[in-house]
Amino acid sequence: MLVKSPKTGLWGGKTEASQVSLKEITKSFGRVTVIPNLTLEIKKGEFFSLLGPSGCGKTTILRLIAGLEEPDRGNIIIGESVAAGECWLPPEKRKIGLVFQDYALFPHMTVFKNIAFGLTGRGKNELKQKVRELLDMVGLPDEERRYPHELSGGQQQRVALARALAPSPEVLLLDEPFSNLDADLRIELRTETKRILEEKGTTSILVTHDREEAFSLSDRIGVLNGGKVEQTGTPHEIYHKPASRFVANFAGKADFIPGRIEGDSVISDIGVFKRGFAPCGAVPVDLMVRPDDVDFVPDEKGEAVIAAAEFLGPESIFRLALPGGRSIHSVKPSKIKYQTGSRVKIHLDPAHIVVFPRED
Amino acid sequence: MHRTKFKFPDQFPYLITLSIGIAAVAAIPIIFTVYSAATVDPELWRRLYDTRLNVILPNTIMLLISVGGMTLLMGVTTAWIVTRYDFRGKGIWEWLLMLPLAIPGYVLAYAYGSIMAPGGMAQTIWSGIFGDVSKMPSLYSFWGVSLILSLVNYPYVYLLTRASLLNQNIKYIEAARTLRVSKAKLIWSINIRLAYPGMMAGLALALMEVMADFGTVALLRYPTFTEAIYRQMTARFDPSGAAALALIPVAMTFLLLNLERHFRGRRSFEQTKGGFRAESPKKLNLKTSLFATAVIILLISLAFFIPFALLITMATDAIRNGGLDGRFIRFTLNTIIVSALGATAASILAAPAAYLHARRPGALTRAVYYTSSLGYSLPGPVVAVGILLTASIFFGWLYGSILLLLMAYVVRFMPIALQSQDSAISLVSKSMEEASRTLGAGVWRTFKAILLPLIRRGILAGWVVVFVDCMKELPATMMLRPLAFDTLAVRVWIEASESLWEMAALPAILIVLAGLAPLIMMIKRMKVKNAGEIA
Repeated sequence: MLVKSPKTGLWGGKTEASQVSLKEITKSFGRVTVIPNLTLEIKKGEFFSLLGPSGCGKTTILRLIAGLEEPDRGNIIIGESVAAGECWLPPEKRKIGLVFQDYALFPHMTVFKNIAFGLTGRGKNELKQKVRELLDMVGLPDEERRYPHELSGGQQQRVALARALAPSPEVLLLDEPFSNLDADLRIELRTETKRILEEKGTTSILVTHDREEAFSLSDRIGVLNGGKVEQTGTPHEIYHKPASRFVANFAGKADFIPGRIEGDSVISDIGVFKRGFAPCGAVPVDLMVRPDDVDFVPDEKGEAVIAAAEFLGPESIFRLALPGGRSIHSVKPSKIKYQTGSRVKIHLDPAHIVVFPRED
Repeated sequence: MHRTKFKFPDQFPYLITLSIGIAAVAAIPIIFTVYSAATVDPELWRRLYDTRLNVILPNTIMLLISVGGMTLLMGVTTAWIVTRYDFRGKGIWEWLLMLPLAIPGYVLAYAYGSIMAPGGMAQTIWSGIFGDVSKMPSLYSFWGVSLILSLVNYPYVYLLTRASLLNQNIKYIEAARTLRVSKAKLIWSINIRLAYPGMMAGLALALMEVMADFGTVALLRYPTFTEAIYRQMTARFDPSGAAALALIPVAMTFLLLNLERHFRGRRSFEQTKGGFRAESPKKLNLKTSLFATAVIILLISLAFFIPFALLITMATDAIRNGGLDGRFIRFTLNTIIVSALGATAASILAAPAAYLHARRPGALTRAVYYTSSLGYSLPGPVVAVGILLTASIFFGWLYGSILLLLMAYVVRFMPIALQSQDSAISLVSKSMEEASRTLGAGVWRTFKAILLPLIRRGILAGWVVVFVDCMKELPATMMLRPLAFDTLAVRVWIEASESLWEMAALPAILIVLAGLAPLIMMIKRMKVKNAGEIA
């Protein structure tokens, strides 16, 4: 299902103008270079996620955009104005909103005052009305008199979102905003946040290490490794057409089957796949296979054996042992039970052929 | 247009410049003292040795040894009793044992001076039991001074030993038990060894107080460094001699300070993070309970209840005899004004360094923080000499104004404000300020609307402690105050040195009552922390 609101993103196709752009940014802390020469562009109205393991520099990028850190080199442009580089705009002048991982609600202020904090230059009645609107939007119409410590984690997260959106920022930055919530609430709030942001059409940048979160929310994702962008693309591209082994592994479970390119096809232990490669001689490669590319049927004469099964609720993941001592994973609906130890015949149907040069 | 780069965004350069300036002001008196001491004529050293050092050096060292021994005995015994045993009233004694912190040494010396004065309470009791009064031990002796200073300073050892013992993880003790270690060996090798850093840190603090004490030794006529520096400056008007004399206590204090830091640093290593369980205290039966309570009551009575009761009686007598006159009110006002000014100046001047230390940790900010803290460990007369020396060169026109006195208070007590603000700021997540900035608030609004309300209590607590310390401060006040500008502390000292016991009672009781305020604050905080640990 790829139905997008017309206001947002690529497939809506409304706008291609750049909202945030980082050019050749370098940032070090002491002797450690966290961001070496990063260039990144986020388009107006899109939901962009920075996905990567902890320590990959994703939060630093967010803080650089917010103006909470200053780059050593390079330019940051937000909207029309240069925010860092040739000149410096402090955070309060950048028209950005930031939802912190710990929410950072002001403990000495009520919910009302927290949200009203960024709404300056308004009359009393106008202010009241605006705060009410925001609280309605995040589904907390009756909590304006409460203090942050009286709210649940989910409620605090909603208030933090309302507060960040209150001054109508051009860009909303979200720093792992769902990571402190338990699983069910996380999914609920993520869906709701997406709805609100789509309605507002605000350009949003999310930092997360949770690929599922990035997939479900983003128009585009940038996968980060060691301060470098390994790949940017739609969630679909990131999952199915990873540009590197790192992305392939980080975006989901992947098996790498050795093979070689001959002519326009890949020849591997588990089959030959023709997908129109440019002929370039016999090159040893690894073919990436996702568990959802792999199907199997029980067969006494099959080449593989079910080595292990992991029940995950709606589906199960099976580890299939191949003759050469190698194994491959397959995901299937969990309705049908398969006995571990039984022989199966593998049927491979990769939607996209992804190969990487062999690494030894 | 290319702007020159700052390493940090926004206000950092201004703040760091400001805090370096303040640190320099705080450090100049000390640097000057050391400098002029290092450049004096060697002949002066010989003369000083022959006339002063030959007495005060052994005196000071002997005093440190005896007070060290006695505070260890008092502090460790009581800490052991309240942490290892459970008995009725323990919950109260645990806190009352800190009460002596509210009494400055010179007030206790004065109170005992009046108790043991000719025809006083002690002589009456002595003659009733032993007859011959001339055989009664004198307060004006080595042991008298040692006892007074130990009674005043044992709470430092008590507090830190108690904390160490409370933090001991039962795992070690259980592990030792499984190894079939004898009880005596267990106590020695596990409990004492683990509490050792706390004991040593407390001891170092107590000895630093002894080094800094002026009032007690001066009242009881036991010459030490502080007293010698004071005389050198006020009676002989010899600033270079005073500076030379100051060099030795400065060195000794830094030694103690490093000792304290060393042991305090080690303490944190033992607190195991996970699975912490303290050993549950042993329940005492009636007889042993009575014994434990008696030991504690004896100590608190000597250190607090008896002198306090005496002060109250004398103060009521003084009031009845018209002691609450215009003069007394003037002294009180003087004290309140200088202390409030001192506390306010110290709190304001501490803010930049405290903020930077909490928010931008780094070599530079740490250096600024520690330089600004130098004055706290220095004895009052040393600080006063340093300020007088500095003033004589740079701003002689300040002589005799209240500003020199305030400068001494700031140098000595700003570190308290610094520490209190630093910990208050550290408790506020940095993201609070960042959230405010991203919501469009500038530096000033962020400070006023977010940070200040969140650290107000910490600032206030620091202010109160500095206020009370200024109120108690004696030697620097005596040396730097404007002519005829007496504070309560100065009055206590003057009246007591002339054995006008009743005249000193009212100012003394005010000082003690004021000293109770920060103590109660501290106890409240500790109680909250304790409750948090149990929950």
